[in-house]
Amino acid sequence: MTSSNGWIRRQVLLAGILLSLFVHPSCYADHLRVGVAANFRSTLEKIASSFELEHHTKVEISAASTGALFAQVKNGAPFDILFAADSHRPALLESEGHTRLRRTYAYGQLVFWTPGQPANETALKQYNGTMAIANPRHAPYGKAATDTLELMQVKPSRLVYGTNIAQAFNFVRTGNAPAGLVALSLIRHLDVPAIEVWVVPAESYAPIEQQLVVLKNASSKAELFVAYIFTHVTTQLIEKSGYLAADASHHVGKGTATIARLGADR
Amino acid sequence: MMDSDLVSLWLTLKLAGATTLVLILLGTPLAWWLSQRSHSNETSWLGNTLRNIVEPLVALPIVLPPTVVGFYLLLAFSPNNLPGELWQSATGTTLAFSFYGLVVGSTIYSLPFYVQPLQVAFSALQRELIEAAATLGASPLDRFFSLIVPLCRRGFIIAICLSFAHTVGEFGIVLMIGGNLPDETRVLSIALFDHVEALDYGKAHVLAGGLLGFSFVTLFLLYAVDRHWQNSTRTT
Repeated sequence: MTSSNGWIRRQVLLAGILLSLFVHPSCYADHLRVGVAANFRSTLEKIASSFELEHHTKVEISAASTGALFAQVKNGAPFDILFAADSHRPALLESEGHTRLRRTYAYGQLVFWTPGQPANETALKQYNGTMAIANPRHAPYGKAATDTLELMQVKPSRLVYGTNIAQAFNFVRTGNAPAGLVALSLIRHLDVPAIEVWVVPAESYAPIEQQLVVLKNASSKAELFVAYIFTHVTTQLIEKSGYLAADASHHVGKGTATIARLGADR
Repeated sequence: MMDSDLVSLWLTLKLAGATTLVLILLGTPLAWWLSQRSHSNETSWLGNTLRNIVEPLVALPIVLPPTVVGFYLLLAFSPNNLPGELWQSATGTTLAFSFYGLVVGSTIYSLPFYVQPLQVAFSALQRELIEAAATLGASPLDRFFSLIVPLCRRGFIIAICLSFAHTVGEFGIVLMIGGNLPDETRVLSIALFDHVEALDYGKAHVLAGGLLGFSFVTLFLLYAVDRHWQNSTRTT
């Protein structure tokens, strides 16, 4: 490499920086817009910040419920990637031709949480007070919660619904509901004492399969970020954050080859 | 409209009605007190200072995001904190996730919409008229109901209609403290949000269109009544 080559590269870089000042952020290639379901937000923020350091690509995260994100994407929100809390709505987006890749990135884990009380199977089965869960009509953790309550024949006196799992969690955290069925990821994020938490066995509810989709008009960096999600380090982080990692054999949809290649490049 | 949406409709009307009633009882004296600003600075320095503080407090819900009110109410309603603890020891239940909790939230949220129009009406009253009634021997209560209320009817109607309609349109606070209980806290705006989240746009259209229509008709009638009264006061 000659030094003139380096000089040219610096000039090109400078021109690029100057140009980028006049370009709307959404056209800026080195910039990913990611929509994420409430339960995965804090985990994704950690992943994104290490990705930003390694790849010099800014990741802009918007958290909302999966349903809200879905509606936004259908109506033209400029997201590159969507991390949903379920597999139903990603599949729907795919069937409507909005995506170019769909893949399972984690399985959510449901926990019984009673602040100030030891939590275990018996405590859950005997619980008969107010219980906070996510809305089972559209929130995957809410559906898992009602599955569990039915299977274990728990009869809370009152079920209060959070719009998403984070809100159900907040109902318990603020003390307004003495117990809840919430996401392990949120528990981990806040360092809740282990004794207050009982991880509900995965057989008690239909798997909370969380899928991501790369949207049709996404930046080419999107696949790079997705590949980063499936690196060993990131998978370990996801597991540590309270999820079961997605089995590598679970990938679906076209574009898997691209992922494999990008993964191998690293 | 689904049965559960009808339940939400009834609940919404009940909430708006109860909130408006509470506002009539609490907001009317408040608006009256605020309108009694004295212009002789020395005699009522304390009262005027208090008014200077309370007036912006009443207006706060207009500029604050409902999430601010919702967040503080969620903390206040918690049995871990004093207000929630008192309520729980008195009633055995929590204020969050209850109809009464929503009435508290809505009263705060709609307070400026009741107090401000009424305060304006009270301030425009001619003091001589009331003083004349007093010298003729009318008791304060009598003066209020047979003089002030009729004279300020325009202010009352606007205040009542606006606070009712504004409560029907409430969303953010209910979302944060309601817990989405059918029969108790799932008002129309929440039911609509649920339909959208569940991707059921058909049902969402019914509720959204209904709320839009209701709000328009309310404001249309309000303006019509107002025009009518303005004309009638001009001719008399």
